[in-house]
Amino acid sequence: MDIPKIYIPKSPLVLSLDLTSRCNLNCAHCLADASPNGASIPQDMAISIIDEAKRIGVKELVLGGGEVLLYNNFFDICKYIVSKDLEFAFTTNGTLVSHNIDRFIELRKHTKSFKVGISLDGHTPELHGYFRPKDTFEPIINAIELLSSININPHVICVLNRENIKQIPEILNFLSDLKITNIRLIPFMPVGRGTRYKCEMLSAKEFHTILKQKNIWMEKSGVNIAIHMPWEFLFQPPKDRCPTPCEAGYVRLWIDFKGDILPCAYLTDSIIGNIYRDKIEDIWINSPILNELRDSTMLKGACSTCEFREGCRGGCRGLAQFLKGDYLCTDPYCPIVNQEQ
Amino acid sequence: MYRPILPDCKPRTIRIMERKEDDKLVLYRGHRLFVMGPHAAEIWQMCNGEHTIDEMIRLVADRYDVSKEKASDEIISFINRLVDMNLVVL
Repeated sequence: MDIPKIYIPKSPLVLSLDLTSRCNLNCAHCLADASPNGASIPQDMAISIIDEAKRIGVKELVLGGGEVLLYNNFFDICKYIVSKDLEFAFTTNGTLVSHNIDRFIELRKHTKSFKVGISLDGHTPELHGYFRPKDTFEPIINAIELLSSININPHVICVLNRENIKQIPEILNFLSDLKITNIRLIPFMPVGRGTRYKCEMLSAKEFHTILKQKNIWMEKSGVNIAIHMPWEFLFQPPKDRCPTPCEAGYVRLWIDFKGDILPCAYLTDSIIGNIYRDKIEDIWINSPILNELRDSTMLKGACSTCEFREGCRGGCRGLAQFLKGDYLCTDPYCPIVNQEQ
Repeated sequence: MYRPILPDCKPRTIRIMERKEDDKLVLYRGHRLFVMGPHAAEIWQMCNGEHTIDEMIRLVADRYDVSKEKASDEIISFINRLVDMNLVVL
C-alpha cells in the first residue's frame, strides 16, 4: 500500500482561467496589466473551456482577471460551473462586491462550497495603498463585512512589499477582528506592470524571516497563513519535511484572457498553446515546456545536484525566469541556493 | 512504530479533491498530490466514518485470502500514515 510521491496526472486537476483584463483599478504592480479598457474571453469560449475542463477531469476552476466582477454575466459563469459539478474559486479586488451582493446571495443558493479571495495588502489605507489605490481600503473592508454577513468567509490575498512586511502581526490582528481565518501571503513578483518595480522584490533574507515567524504569528492571531514556496519545508524540523512542488505542469494550467495557455501565471513568456486552436489535454501531455518543467534532471545550478530536487522541483520556476532568464535555473529565494552564494 | 487503533474505530477521510486515473486514485490537497493503487484506494474509500477497522480487516482478509494478522498490520500501518498526512481523522 505504497503512496508514491511523484506522479504526473493525465490532465490538470486545477485550471486557472483569467476571464478578463478589465479592471476598475490601476494598481502599480498588477500582474495582469489590467485596466478599464482590458479585453475578455467571450462568454461562449468560457463555456467551452468549462465543458472541456469537465470532460478531461479537471476538478477545480480558479477564476481570475482583471476584476472578475466586471466580466459580463460572471455569476452565470459561476452557476454554469456549479451545474457541471466542478469546484471553483475566484479573486476580487473587493471594490464591486457591494454592488453585486444580491448576486452573491443568489450564487450561494446554488452552492456553498466556492471560495472567494479578496486583495488586501494592509490594515490601514496607507499600508494597503503601497501598490494599490488607498481609497479602496474602506470599500474592501465593507466588502469583507458584507460577505461575512451572508456567511461567505473570504480569504485575504496580501502581496508582500517592503512596508507591510514590517507590520504582519498588526495586519493579522486586524483580520482576526474581521473574523478572517485565512490569509495568503504572496511575495511581490515583477510581472505585468510590476516589471517596473523589480527593486521592490523582497530579499531572500526578508522572505525567510517571514517564513520563520509564520507559525508563531498563526498561533497568536488565530489566522491561518498560507505561503506556498516549494522549498518552505526546509524551515520545518527534518522529521516533518515534506516538499510540495511548484504546480506548473504538475497539477495546474493557466489560460489567460487572450486564450493563451501558460504553465503558470508567472511564466508569461512561455506560451504553450492557445485555447482557440489547441486542446487542453494535448497541451498537457505534449508541451515540450511542461515536459521540461516536469523533468527534475533538467534543473540547473544548485538544483542539479540537490537532494530535494525530486520533491521540490527547483522551487518557483517563475522567479528563476524573472531573475535568471531561464525557468530551469535555481529559485533565487531558495535557502539552499542562498547558502551557496 | 505506529500508534494502536481500536478495532471499533471508524476512520473518516477529510474533504479532498479526488480523481480516478486507470487503476489509481489521485488525491490533491494543498499543492500536493497523493496517488493510491487499487488496494490502498479500497481502504481509503472505506474510510467514510461508517466502517470499523475490524470490518476493513475482515474484508481484506476474506477478499485477498491473507491472514487477519497480515491484513491488520497493513491496514493499521496505512491508516496511521494517512493520519500523519492529515488525510484521515480517527
